[in-house]
Amino acid sequence: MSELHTLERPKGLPKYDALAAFTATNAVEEARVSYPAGDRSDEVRFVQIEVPPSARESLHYRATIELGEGAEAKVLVRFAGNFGETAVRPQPVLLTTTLDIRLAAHSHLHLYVVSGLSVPYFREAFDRAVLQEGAKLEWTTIGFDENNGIYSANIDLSGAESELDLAGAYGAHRNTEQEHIIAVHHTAPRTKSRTNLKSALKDSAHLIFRGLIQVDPTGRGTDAYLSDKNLIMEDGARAESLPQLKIDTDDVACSHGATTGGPREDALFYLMSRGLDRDAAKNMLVLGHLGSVFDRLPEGIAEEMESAAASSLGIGDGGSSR
Amino acid sequence: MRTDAAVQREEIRNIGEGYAERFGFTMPDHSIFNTGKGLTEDTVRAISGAKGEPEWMLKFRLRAFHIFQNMPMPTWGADLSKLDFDRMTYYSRPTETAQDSWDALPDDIKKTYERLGVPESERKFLAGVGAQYDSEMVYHNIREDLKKRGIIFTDVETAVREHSDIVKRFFGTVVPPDDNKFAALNSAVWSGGSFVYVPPNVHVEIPLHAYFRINSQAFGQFERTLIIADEGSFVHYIEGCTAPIFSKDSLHTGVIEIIALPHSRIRYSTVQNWPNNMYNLVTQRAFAYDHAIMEWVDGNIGSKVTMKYPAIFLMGPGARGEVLSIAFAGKGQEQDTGGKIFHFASDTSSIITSKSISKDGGIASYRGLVKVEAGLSNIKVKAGCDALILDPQSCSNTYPTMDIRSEQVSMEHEAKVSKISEDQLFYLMSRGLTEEEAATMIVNGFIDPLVKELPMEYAVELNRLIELEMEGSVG
Repeated sequence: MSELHTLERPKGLPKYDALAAFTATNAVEEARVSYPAGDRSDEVRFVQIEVPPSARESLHYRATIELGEGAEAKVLVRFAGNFGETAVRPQPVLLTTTLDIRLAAHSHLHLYVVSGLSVPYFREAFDRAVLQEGAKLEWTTIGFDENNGIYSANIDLSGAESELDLAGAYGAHRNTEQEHIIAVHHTAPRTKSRTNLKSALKDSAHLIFRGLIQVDPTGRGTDAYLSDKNLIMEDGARAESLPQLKIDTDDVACSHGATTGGPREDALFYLMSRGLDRDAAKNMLVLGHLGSVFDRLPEGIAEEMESAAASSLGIGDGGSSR
Repeated sequence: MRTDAAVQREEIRNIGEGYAERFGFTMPDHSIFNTGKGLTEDTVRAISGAKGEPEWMLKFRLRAFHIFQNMPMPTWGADLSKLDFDRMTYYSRPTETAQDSWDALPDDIKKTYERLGVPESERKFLAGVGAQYDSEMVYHNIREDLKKRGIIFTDVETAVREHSDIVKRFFGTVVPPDDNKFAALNSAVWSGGSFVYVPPNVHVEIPLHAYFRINSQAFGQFERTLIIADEGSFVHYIEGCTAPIFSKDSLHTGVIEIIALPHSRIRYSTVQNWPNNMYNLVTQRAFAYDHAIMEWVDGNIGSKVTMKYPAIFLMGPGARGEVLSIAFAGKGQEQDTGGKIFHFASDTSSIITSKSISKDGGIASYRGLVKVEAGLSNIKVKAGCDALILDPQSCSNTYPTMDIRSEQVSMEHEAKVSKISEDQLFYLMSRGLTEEEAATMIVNGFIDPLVKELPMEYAVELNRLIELEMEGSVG
C-alpha cells in the first residue's frame, strides 16, 4: 500500500520495495519491549531513539513492541536529534525508522510516539501493527519533525473485534514537505477503527495525508472512521488530503471526513473582543486545534510537547502568549 | 401519484433490468458511408473530408491524432485492458443531411426515436432537440421563438461552417487535445454533438435536449459538445444516451466544453443509460467566469465501464460551481465517477454531492478533486459522497483529493459507505411498514437529493427507478 505516495523522494534514494526489504533485514534493533501474557502495568515505559546530527551513510532504526495475551501496557517512543540550523547537504542521507507492534489476543497497548527531529535527513517511517482477537491499540502520535519524509503506518485488524484508536497531531513550517500515510486494514469481523489526524501548517510547508480504510469481504461488521483536519496558518502553506475507502462487503459503517482552512474569523473576533491581539488569538486557536491530541499524552509529556509545538510553529515561547 | 411501496421495491430491484426489451433493439445498418474498422491518419482525413471541413479543423484533428498515438493509457481508475481501439468503427454517416422535420428522416431512424419517445417529448416539453444516430446528428430542431432571440442550437459540423468565428475562438480551449488520451481521440475523430450559443441576457426557459443513440456494433461514438452562455444568460441542456445490446464492446468518448461568461448560468444534465458492453469515457469541463454559475447533474446508470468526472474551473470572482452525481453499479459494471473543482479566483464556492448504489457485484467508485490555489480569499468548498452497498458481493470505493493552499478557505469533505441501516429499518417497521416498504423508503430517500434536481418531465428516456422517483417528486 505504501508504495502509493505523492511526494517525490530525493534523487539517489532506493525505490520503495528495495528500501522496505532492506530496512526489514538491516535495521539496527534499537529496542524490544515485551510484556508477557497477563502482565498489567500502569507505568509508562520510555524508549528513546537518539539520531546523530550528522551521518555519511543511511541510518536505520527499529523498535519492536510485543504484548502477550491479555497484557496491558503504556509505552512512549521518542525520536530525538537536533542538528541545529539547516546546513547545505551535498547529497540526501536516508533515515528509516520502523515500529513493529504485535498485540496478542485481548491485550491493550497505549502507545505514544513523539518525534521532534531537526536533522538533515530524508526520513522514511515504516510502522506496522498487527492486532489479534479483541486486542486494542490506543496510539497517539505527535510529529514536529523539520525534515522531509514519507511516514507510513499499516495497521492490520486481523483478529475479530480488535480495535484501533489513533490520533495524530502534526506541525510543519519553513519548506518542510511530508507525506503521512495511514492504512487501516479490516480483515476480521466486527473490528473498529478511529483515526483522527490534525495539522497546523506555516510558511510554505506542504503536508499530504493519505488515509485508507480497506475492508475485505471477511471484514463484516466493520465500523471505521477516518478524519483529517488541517489548519493553514499562512497563505502558501499547502495541505493535501486523500482519504480513501475501499469496501468489499456490505455490512459496514465506514466514513471519512476532511476539513482544511484558516482560523475561523468569528473565533478570532471573539478572542480579540476579550482583549487578545490578532496574533495571540490565532496562536490560541492553533494550540486549541491540536489540543485534543496532546490531551491524550501522559501528564508531563503533554505540557512538554505543547511547548515544543508552540516553539516549532513560532507561536510564542512555549505557549506563554496564552 | 405514487404507487404502493411493494411495486416500488420491485422497481428498485429491477434497476438496470429490462434493458434489452426497452432499448436493446437494433435497426439494420443502412449507413451511406463509413470508415471501416481501425484508426489511422487516413481515417482522420476521411472523416474530415466527408464533412467538407476547413483546413484548420483538419490540422486540429491530425495534431490530436498524433497526441493520441503517443499518449499512454491511464494507469489509474477502471480496468480498460480489454478495450481494443483497432476493432472499433470510428465514423458512420446514417443520412445525407440533418433534417428538421421528423417526416423527412429515414424510416429506420424515425422508428428508433419513436420507440424511445423523442418526438413525443419534443412536442410536449422541449425547446429544441438534437438527435444523434451513430456519428451524425440526423435531426435538429429549435423553436422559432428561440431562434428569433438569437439562440444558436445546432450540430457542431453546421456550427463550424456557419459560425466559424465563435467555434474557432472556443473549440478545444476548455479541453485541449493533450488533456488526456481520450480527449485526444475525440479531438481526432469527433463527429456530431451539439453547439449552443446563448446571446447576452437571454434566458432559455425551456431546456435544450440532445439524444445520442448508437446503432452499430463495435462502434465508437465521439460527439463533441460546445456550449457558450454569453453574459447574463441562462440555459439548461439535457443529454440522454442509449444503444442496442451487441456482443462486441462499443466505445463512447465524448468531449463536452462549456463556457459560462460573466453572470451567466448553465445547467447541464446527463442521464447515461448505455448497455452493459459500452465503455463510456467522457471528458466534461466548464469554465465559469465572474459571478457565473455552473451546474453539472450527472446520472450514470448503464455501461460496462464509466470514467467521468465533470469538472468546473472557477475562473472569476464570485463564480459558483456545483456537481451532483449519481451512479448505479450492477452486475459486471464499474462506475468510476465523481467531480473536480478548481478554484482560481477569490469569493468562489463549490459543492460536490455524489451518491452511489452498488449491487450484484458491481463496483462503484467516487473519484474527486478539489483544488484551491494560493493567495485566494473567501473560498467555500463542500464535498460529500455517500454510498449504499446492497449485497456482500458488491464494492464501493472513494478516492477524493483535496489540495488547499490558501488560508482563507473553508473546505469540508465527508464520505460514508454503508448498507441499509438496521436502525432505520427497525424504526420504520415499528411505525407499521413492512421490511420491503421500509427498505424502499430508505433507498428513495438516499437518492432523493439528485432526483429533485432532474427535470424528469423532459428526460425522455430514463431508467425505471428514476422515472418512478420523478413522478413523485415533480408531482
